[in-house]
Amino acid sequence: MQDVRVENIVKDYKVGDITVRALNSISLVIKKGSFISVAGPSGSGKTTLLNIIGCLDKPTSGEIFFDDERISGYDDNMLTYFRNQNIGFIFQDFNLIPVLTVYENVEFSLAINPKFRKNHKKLVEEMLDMVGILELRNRFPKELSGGQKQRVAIARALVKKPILVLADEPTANLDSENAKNVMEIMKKMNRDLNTTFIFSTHDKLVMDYADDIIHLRDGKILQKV
Amino acid sequence: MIFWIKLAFKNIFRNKQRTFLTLLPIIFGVTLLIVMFSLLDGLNRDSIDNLINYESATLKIVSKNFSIYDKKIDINRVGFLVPDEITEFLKNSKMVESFTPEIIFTGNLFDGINRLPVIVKGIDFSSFKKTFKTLEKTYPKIDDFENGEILIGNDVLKYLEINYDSTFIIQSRTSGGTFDAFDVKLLGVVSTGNPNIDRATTYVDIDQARNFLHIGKKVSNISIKLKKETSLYDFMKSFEKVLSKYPDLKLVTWEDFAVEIKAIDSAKRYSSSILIFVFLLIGGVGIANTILLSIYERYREIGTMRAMGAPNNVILKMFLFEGATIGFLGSFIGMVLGGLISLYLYKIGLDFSSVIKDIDIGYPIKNIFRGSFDIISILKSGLFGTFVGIIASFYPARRAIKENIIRILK
Repeated sequence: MQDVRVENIVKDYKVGDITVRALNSISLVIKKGSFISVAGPSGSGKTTLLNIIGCLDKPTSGEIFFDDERISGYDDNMLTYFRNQNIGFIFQDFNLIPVLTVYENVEFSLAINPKFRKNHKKLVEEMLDMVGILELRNRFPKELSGGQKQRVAIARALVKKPILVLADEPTANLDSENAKNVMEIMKKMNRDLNTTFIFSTHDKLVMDYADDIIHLRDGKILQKV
Repeated sequence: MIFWIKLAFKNIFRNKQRTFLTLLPIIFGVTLLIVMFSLLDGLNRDSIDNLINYESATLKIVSKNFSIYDKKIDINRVGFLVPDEITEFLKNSKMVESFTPEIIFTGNLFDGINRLPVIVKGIDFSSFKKTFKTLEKTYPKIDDFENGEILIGNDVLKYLEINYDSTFIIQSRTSGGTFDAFDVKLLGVVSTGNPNIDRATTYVDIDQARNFLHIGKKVSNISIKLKKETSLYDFMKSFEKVLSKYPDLKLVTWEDFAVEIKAIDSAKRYSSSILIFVFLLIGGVGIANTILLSIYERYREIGTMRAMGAPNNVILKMFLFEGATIGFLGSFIGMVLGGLISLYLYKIGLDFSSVIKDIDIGYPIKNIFRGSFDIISILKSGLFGTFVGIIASFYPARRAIKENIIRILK
C-alpha cells in the first residue's frame, strides 16, 4: 500500500518584490491505485500541486508523505533518486527525445534506473504491446501522430513500474478521439497495474474518467468530488 | 553503456553541418600536432645520425684544452700524442667497432682565382672509412686516398672554377706559426647531406697534414665508433681506468656535440607546441560552443530527463560523452591524416634544398627532411584531442544540470 499524503502545503513564488501564493494550505490523501483528476482554471495551482507531489518542486511549507516516508525533507539528489524509482511523468507536449526511436524512448526510462540492468527488451516490448504500439517500435517521434506520441509517453512513464504517474494536461494537444483513447489506456494501466494516476485537466470529458476530482481555485481546494 | 554511446552519436549528428565545422579545428590541430612532432623527431633523429656518422662518431678522445664551443682550432693547443696504452686498449676492447685519428686545422682553399676558408681534416683512409660514413658518400667512388689528394664538400665546389683532376693550393699556418701552402689534386667531392661537412670541410691524407703542420705524431682527436649493442656509458666506465692515467686527455661524446641540436629542438618544439595549443584551444572553444548550443536547443529534453529521475552525473556524462565523441572523431580523422603525412615524411621526406640553399637552420641537415612514424605518438595526439573534447564540454554540461527543472519544462 502506497498512499500519498499532502499536509498543509503552501507554495509561494517571488515575482519581483511581490510574493504570489500559488498553493494555500492544501491537504489531501491519495489512495494507492486511485485515478485522480486535478481540475481548475488557469493559475489555480494545478501544475504547482503536481510538481510538488511529483518531487520536482519543494513546498514553502507543509509536508508530503509517501506512506510514512517524509519526502518534503529530502534534498535535490534524494528527490531525483525518489523520482527515478517511484514516479512516472506524462507531459502535455509528450517531450519525447526526437533522435531516439519509440523503443529507445521507452528504454531511456530503464537506462537511467539502476534497478533495471537487464531485460530491457522484454520489459519495453511488453509495455509497448500494452499501450498498443509495439509495431511502431522502430519509428521516430516525428513519424507518429499526437495520439501515438502520447502512448509512447505513457509507456515510458510506466515501464519502470512506478507507484505514481503524474500527467499534466495529457490530452490538451490531442483531438477528442485521441484524447479518449489516451484516457482509456491510462485507465486500463491504472486498473491492470494498480498504479496511482494523478492528472490535471480542463476537459470535462477527461474528468469523467477520474475516480475523484479535486477542484482548485486560487491555490485552494474548492471541492473534492 | 551502448545506449549512451548510441545516444551521443545520434545527438552530435542532429546538426551535421555544425558538427563538421566543429570538427575542423580539431582535425587540423591534431594533424598539425602529429606532422610537427613527426618532422621534429625526424629532424632530431637525422641530425644525430648525421652528427655521429660524419662528425663526432660515438665519442672522441680529445685534449683537455678542447672545447666544443671553441670555433678556433689551434693544433698547438688541442693536439696531443696518442699514448700506446690507449691505442692498445682501443684495439683490444670488445666494445669498439673502430677508431681513427683526425688532424683538424683551418686554411684557405685556393683554385688560382677564388680563395675559400675551409676546415681541413687529415684522415687515415682505412680507419676513417670504418669509423665514419663520409667516404661512402663520395663522387666518384674512391677506394684509396693518397698523399697529395683532396676530397672536398660538394657545396665548396660550386664556389670554385675548376674541373676534376684540378690542383688546389691549401694555405695555412704551420704549428710554428709560419704561413705555408701545399698542392693537392682534387680526387672527388663528398656529399653527406650534413651542411657542416658539405659546405666547408675538405679531407687530405693524415701524413700530409702532419708534415705540413710539423706536428710529428700529434693528432687533434681520436674518433671512436662503438659496436651497436654497446652502451656508451659501459664503455666510458671500462675506459676510465686507462684514461685516468692521462690527465691531459678527456672524452667527449656525441651527446656533448648534440647540445646545440637538442637546444634548437626543444626551442622548436616549444614554439610549435604554442601554435598547436592555439589550434586545439580554438577546437576546444568550438566544441564548448557546439555543446552549449546543443544544450540550449535541447533544454526541454534535458528537463524531461531530469524529471524522469536521470541523476546529474548521467546528464553530465551524456554531454561529456558527446564532447569526447566530437573530440575523438576530430582526433581520429586528424590521426589518419597526420599518420598518412607522417608515413610520407618517413618514407620519402620533403626536399627543401631549393628553399634552404646556404641558410643555416641549426640542424646538421640539408636537402631532404624526413619525419618519424611513431604509432604511440600518433595515438597520444589522438587521445589529447579526445581529452580536449571532454574538458571543453565540461562547462556547458554543468549548465545543463544547474538549471531549474520547472523553468526548463515551462
